Amino acid sequence: MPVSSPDSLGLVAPLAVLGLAAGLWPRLPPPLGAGLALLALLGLLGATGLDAAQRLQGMPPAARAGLGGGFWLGCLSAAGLVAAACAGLRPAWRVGLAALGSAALLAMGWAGTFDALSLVVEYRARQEAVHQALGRHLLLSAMALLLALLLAVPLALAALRRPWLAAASGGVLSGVQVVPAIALFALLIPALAALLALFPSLRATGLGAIGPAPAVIATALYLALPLFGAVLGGLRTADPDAVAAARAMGMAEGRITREVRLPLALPVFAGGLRVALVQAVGLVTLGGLVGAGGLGAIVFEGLSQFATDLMLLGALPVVALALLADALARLAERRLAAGT
Amino acid sequence: MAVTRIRRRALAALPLALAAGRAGAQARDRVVVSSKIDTEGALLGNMILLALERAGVPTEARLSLGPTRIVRAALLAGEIDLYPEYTGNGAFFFNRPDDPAWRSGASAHELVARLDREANRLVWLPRAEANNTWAIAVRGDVASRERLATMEDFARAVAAGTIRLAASAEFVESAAALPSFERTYGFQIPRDRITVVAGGDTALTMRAAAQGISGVNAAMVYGTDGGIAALNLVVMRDTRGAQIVYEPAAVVRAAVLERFPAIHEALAPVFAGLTLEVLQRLNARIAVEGRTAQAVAREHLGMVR
Amino acid sequence: MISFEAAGVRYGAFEALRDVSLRVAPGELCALVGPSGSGKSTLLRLVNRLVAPSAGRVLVRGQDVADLDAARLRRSIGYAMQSVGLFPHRTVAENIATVPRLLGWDAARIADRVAALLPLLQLDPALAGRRPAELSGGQAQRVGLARALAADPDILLMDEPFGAVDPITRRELRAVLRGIHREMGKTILLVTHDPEEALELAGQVAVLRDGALVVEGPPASLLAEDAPAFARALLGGVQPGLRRLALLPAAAARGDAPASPDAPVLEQDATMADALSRIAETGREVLALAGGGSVALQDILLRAR
Repeated sequence: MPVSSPDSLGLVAPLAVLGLAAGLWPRLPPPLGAGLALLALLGLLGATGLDAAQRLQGMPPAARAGLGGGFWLGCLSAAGLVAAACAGLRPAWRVGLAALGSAALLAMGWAGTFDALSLVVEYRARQEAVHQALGRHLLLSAMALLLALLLAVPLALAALRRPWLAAASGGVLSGVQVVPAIALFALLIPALAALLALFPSLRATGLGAIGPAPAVIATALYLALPLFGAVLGGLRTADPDAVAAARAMGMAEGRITREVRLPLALPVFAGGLRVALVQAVGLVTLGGLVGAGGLGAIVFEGLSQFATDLMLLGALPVVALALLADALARLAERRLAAGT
Repeated sequence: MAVTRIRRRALAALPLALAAGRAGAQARDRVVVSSKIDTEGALLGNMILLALERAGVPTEARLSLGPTRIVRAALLAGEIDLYPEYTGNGAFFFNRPDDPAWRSGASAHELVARLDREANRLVWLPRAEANNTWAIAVRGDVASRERLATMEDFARAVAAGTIRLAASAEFVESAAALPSFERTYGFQIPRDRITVVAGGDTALTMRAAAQGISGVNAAMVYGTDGGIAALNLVVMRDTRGAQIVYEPAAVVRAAVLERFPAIHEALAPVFAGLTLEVLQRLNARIAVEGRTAQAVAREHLGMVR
Repeated sequence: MISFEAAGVRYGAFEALRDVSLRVAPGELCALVGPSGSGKSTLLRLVNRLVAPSAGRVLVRGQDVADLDAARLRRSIGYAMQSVGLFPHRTVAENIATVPRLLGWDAARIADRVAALLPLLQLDPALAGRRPAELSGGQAQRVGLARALAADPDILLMDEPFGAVDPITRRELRAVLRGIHREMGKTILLVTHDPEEALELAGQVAVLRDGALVVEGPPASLLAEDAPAFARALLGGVQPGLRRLALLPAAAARGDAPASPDAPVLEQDATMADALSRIAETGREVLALAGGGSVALQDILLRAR
């Protein structure tokens, strides 16, 4: 069974482009620098795909081209270069470059540039399962975030004027953070089973002690701390003079919170929500440990078999989703800030 | 970039886990079958499903549920009814790792069955005599030339200076692993004759031994690793019980077994037929040849579509 | 309109106010003066129950505030403060409409009221749609004052309302307040640390020190030679005599002695300080008073005592 040595060309050529771009770019106009960095990244990806195809020629159909450490290193530095170059760009440029890069990647994918890579082969083989997992992952993330909001927001509102409750909630929620996911699930399964034994009708609503319910609950418990912190912090940072004026004019406390504190807390809250959103996408992966499905199921299946490609097939979409969620949330945040 | 022909996947379990419906802990009209999230779990789980199906026992699949702790918790909570577990894990379930009973297949099964029946109303069905524990495998040609079959033989080969071992750092350092073998069989591999491989990936150690990379001719393996047979490696038998025995058996909730007594007769012959070599071969079909666990299970049970 | 009856406020061991008795008649503008920490803001906040007395009573419109609904009481009393505390997320018009909205006025009535208040406080109607961040300091203060006046309360509480603006804006705002007081007949309680402001605006001044009322009365009386030295020093600075003359009308020193035809003529509402100033400028000891009669230096000195 032949094992090839690390490829020199596939690694060195794109790295040379990278080096060139890195050396030149301080002197380049920012859009050109970012464009070059993007070109280097796309070049690296394309060259890797083509090189893999070349190597697999004449080999049996079961042969795969895995991705070595050099590829990831090159990929990471190229992506970092793109990100750094984009930081100095106007949003319009950034969106344009992102669209251009995505379009180029899609075109290359469509043209079959990456067909020989084991990651792509693995994807082709389980396309439907991956798509299904992706949808389910999003659903689980959304449910977890919603549940976390339902938990954290009322708690923060109640804790606003009760320091003991703020301290207690903060302590408990921080405590949850250090409980490993597996231990949390192992606690949730019997707890949920006991609850369902008491109220069997709950099962009709789709609740179960394994599957999505413990995954969503555990993720929500992890998310509750950043959300609680953001809401409480936001409410507390509301201009004390505005709050004092509202009170002096005869606004009731509930109304002060609703009409003064919450609107003023919105920017802080939006930041916390964005962090929680990104965390939700990442944390729901742990649902793969309790049969909740989602991309985590693919990740952990790959992990348990030391099957790197399978693991990446689950992990890469998670990373992409998290980055996308972050970008969209930032955009929304900026809109919000511009609106007030 | 590395090109390899090894192809690893266990495809069947994923869509099943995703599509699985809900089950109640109370009296159910079907048996909820689960398994751990690994290749052998998927294989055994599919075999159990097929065997029960053939015996007319209604089932619901929740395969590849999660790691040991989660699947065990789900069984204890009554969320699932049956899954394949390894006898040796009783040492950790009941926190008595030093009990000598764990070191032989029969006594380990007997002990864990008794403990689980008394404490949790769980029944351990007959086991497969295929020990999926840490083991050392030697390249086939070396084994036949030096006539190596047991760990005693291996100790002799170490003393003769013919062995070069590939293993993970954990295997080399963990008191229960290599040090336990060395203590039990009275040998000591010089550390400069051990190639330490990052992580616990036995695919790497096996490949190193099979291909003789850096002169390696022995590898840390798990007893039923699919690659063992495919790469022509021979597992050294642990005759003196240096390792806790991990033999798979179906564990079922007693109440469910009472309701569906056919489970016992349906599964006993399946597990009886799973010897170490058979399990290695079946795992290899999934991990090396890239077939689905369901297809391999089907074929093995003579249910080829 | 407002009376404090032996009111005291205690925070733990700290006594913020001690046995303060003070009556403010309807339509009066009473200035509360005193050094920082003397308790003047606390006294003000007793009126709308932002602070509750730990001793004594506070009566507003003849009723003990402790018996009234705090929110309703506060909505019936205008409140303006140095930091203004406009709601940054609301427009100027929405800020002004706060209390009317709390009182449930309909939209048309609120719009009319806002439209009427803007010119009253010399605010450009174009500002109505702006947010507070776009306003200058003086504009924000005017909006704050408009907000306090929005529901046309008969009582206005002002906690150093002009403390944070430049001297010119301050003078303008004072004029606005004096106009409002004169034309609308509101009862106003004004906390200030600016003696000039107190003397210029107030018909009644209460001097506080370390939580106790030192003296209260018409401003001129607090500058008289027999007034407490603390009040004289606080209000009059180094020339309390001159300050006091500025509070007394020149007409009060009108004498029968005819002024010579070429004597300088003094405005009818001129103060004794104005008269003294003209005498110093012209060197003439007798001034003619517009509307008849004359004012002589000797009479001023006699009356000012």
